[in-house]
Amino acid sequence: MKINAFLKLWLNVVRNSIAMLKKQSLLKMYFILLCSLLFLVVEFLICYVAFSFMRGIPEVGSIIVERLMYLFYFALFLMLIFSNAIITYSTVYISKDTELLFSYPLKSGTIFRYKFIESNMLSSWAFMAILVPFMVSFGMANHADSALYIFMFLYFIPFLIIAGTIGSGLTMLLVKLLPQKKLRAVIFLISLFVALVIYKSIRRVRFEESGQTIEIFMLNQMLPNIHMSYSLFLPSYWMAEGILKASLKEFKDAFYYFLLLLSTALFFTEVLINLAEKFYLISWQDVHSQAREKIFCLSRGIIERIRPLFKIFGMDSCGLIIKDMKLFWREPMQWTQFVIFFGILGVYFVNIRHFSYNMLQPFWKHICAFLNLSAILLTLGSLSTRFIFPQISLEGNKFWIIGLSPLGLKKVLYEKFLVSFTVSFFITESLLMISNKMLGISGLLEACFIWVILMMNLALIGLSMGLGAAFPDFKSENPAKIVSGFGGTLALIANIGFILIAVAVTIFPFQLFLKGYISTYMDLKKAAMISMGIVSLMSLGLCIFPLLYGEKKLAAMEF
Amino acid sequence: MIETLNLTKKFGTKIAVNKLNLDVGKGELFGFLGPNAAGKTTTIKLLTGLLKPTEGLVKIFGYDIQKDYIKVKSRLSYIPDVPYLYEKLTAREFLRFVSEIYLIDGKDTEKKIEGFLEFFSLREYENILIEEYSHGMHQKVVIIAALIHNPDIIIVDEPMVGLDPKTTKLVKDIFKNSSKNGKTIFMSTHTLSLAEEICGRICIIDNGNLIAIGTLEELRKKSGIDGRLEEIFLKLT
Ligand SMILES: Nc1ncnc2c1ncn2[C@@H]1O[C@H](COP(=O)(O)OP(=O)(O)OP(=O)(O)O)[C@@H](O)[C@H]1O
Ligand SMILES: [Mg+2]
Repeated sequence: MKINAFLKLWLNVVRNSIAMLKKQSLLKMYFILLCSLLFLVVEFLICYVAFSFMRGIPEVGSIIVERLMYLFYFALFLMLIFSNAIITYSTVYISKDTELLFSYPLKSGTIFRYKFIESNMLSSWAFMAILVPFMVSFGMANHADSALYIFMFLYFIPFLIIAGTIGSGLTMLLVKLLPQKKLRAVIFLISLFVALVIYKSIRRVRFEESGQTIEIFMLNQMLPNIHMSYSLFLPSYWMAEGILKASLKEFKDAFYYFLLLLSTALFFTEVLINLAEKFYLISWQDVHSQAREKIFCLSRGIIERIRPLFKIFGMDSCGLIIKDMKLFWREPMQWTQFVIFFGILGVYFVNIRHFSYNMLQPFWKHICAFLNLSAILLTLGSLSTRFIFPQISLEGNKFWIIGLSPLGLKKVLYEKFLVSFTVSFFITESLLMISNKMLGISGLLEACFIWVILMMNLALIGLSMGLGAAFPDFKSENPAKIVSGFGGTLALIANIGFILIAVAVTIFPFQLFLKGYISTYMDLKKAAMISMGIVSLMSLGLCIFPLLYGEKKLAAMEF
Repeated sequence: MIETLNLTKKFGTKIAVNKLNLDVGKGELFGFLGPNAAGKTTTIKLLTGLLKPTEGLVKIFGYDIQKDYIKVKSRLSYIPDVPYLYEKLTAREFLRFVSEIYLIDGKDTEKKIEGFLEFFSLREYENILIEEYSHGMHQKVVIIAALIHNPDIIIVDEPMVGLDPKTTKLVKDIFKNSSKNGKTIFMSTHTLSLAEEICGRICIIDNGNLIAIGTLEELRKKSGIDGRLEEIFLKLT
């Protein structure tokens, strides 16, 4: 009966939201559909080509595919857990409707079940977009029959549930066990620890010692050999193994892995619901009685002390900047992600020399350099969607304070743009410097890279900021939810698309040079200038127009 | 019906409610007053089991709210100061959802919901999403949702904010009638004239401490002021 009520609640919400969507312009609807379709198709094609290529490599092809599968599902598993843990915190503990539900005669377990499904769906749906084309292309490249697809679909659901229960369980445990004050520090330490363990378990071999051909060596480096991903106890291993078995038509084994996943999912769910029955209400009460004062002494101290630095921007901008810094610091979920992603890249780059990439032939060295550049840019791209895009929306209902103040929305927009740009510019440029230094890249290539990073910072931050202002969502307090809307999806697709284009344009003259189509250094220089010009033009366009568009939209907004 | 024993709530070192002892009987319309940050909302959240007392006990219908909360909550309504509603539902859908949660029998529910909507002049808006409602309409839906399962106790935090005079009168009458019919109403408010008009007993707290409790007459005697509640309130806090 009560579950029935929740079911109806969802159906109503979904139906009404769709009805609201229909009221909006058809153009926007079609545009969203088209973009999503395009994204899926492109992803599918890339995966398909990659799988076909790898299968074609004699002898080692199947080994590489296998390793890729373990690695892919392992990474996916970790990301799902992480995303579930974060989203659980906001949907299960912070979300406003929990208070409403707790005031009804509902058992904690019932409320939790409902909130768990909600947060699991919220955290998983974005990954579906990655997963489905990957799986389908794997099947197509293997000329598999329909049984494989059925199996993949069957694996998929318990896999998501397992990751969800672990993520949510982790959050519940942390909230229950830790006093609120220490929560952020502990989350930070745990993330750091996990990152370190994974990093340490990557087995790297020096090229000279490996005795492999350069191609195999490079593939090895690009698909890090993470021991952990082969662990027999990992659901991601079962999933990968099951899919591989199914693709070889060993359906008995495949079915076994399905049962394994299913029973684990059921068992974990049962355990989690039982835990929730006992602890959910208590921990929810804890979260809502946390002392609000004094926690932030540290940040208040440091941030207030550097306040004079920002005085040069004028009183009002200074106020805004200080406010943003405080809010950012007070949201541990925000900056831990930041630290983790850029931290991993940093550690990796610092260790490049260790793997003796700098001993490689120029061709491979260039490939490495470009891969590093892409890694930096892709990280920047996804982080800027994740953090920069929701900034305007997060001002939320309080936006009118600023809207009515003499500051004006325009100033807020550009202040946020400038601050974000400055921060990300310094981080990405330093990462790039490390990478270049370690690889021994210098001269023209280095200059190009530095310039590209500058331009891309402008473009990616401007784009995310502008779209965030043009498609704000003032209602939700949850950044993940804001990002998963139309504007956020658009920003992510545009970011990644543009990164791919920009890297391709940058790499083009250098590849021509290495392949011998450009013979003199002078010609290379000219070609590089042209490609930089193209990147710059596109970047400036992608920075300025979205910002102007966002500004116009904000100015026209009614509160 | 509502009983607190040495009820204390601390947030860190801040004591929001300090050793509060209250006893509200059946059919009482109890006014709960105090300046901003006095601890009214905190007390109410303790009464409804949303917060856990640092010390002390809340008993409702004789049950400990922290332990037997299902039994208590099915006969109790809570209207928070900042109520949440599912914005993507229409008023009708939301009220149906609430009735299902309270396991009210299906047949009469529709009629009941319609009656309430009619009563609060919301019929013509019943199929519009709540996100498009004005503040007062929002508040009306919250009040209907609190009344729909015919609770024995209603706990309200600032009920009249944003309501027009006509609706204020409606709500006032509902509260008065309910209390006549043996329902208990626990109401926190800043509208002193309202408390003066409808409340039987009034309790004033400040800084988490109970300052005074009793009927208007008793408060007058205690403060030594023979005037309106406003003067008494200002003197005591
Ligand atoms: N979660 C919390 N963490 C820390 N302190 C809190 C928390 N909730 C309330 N307080 C503090 O407890 C005190 C009482 O707050 P409460 O909301 O109960 O006041 P109130 O009487 O309802 O005030 P108002 O009339 O403004 O609604 C305040 O000082 C407030 O700062
Ligand atoms: Mg209050």
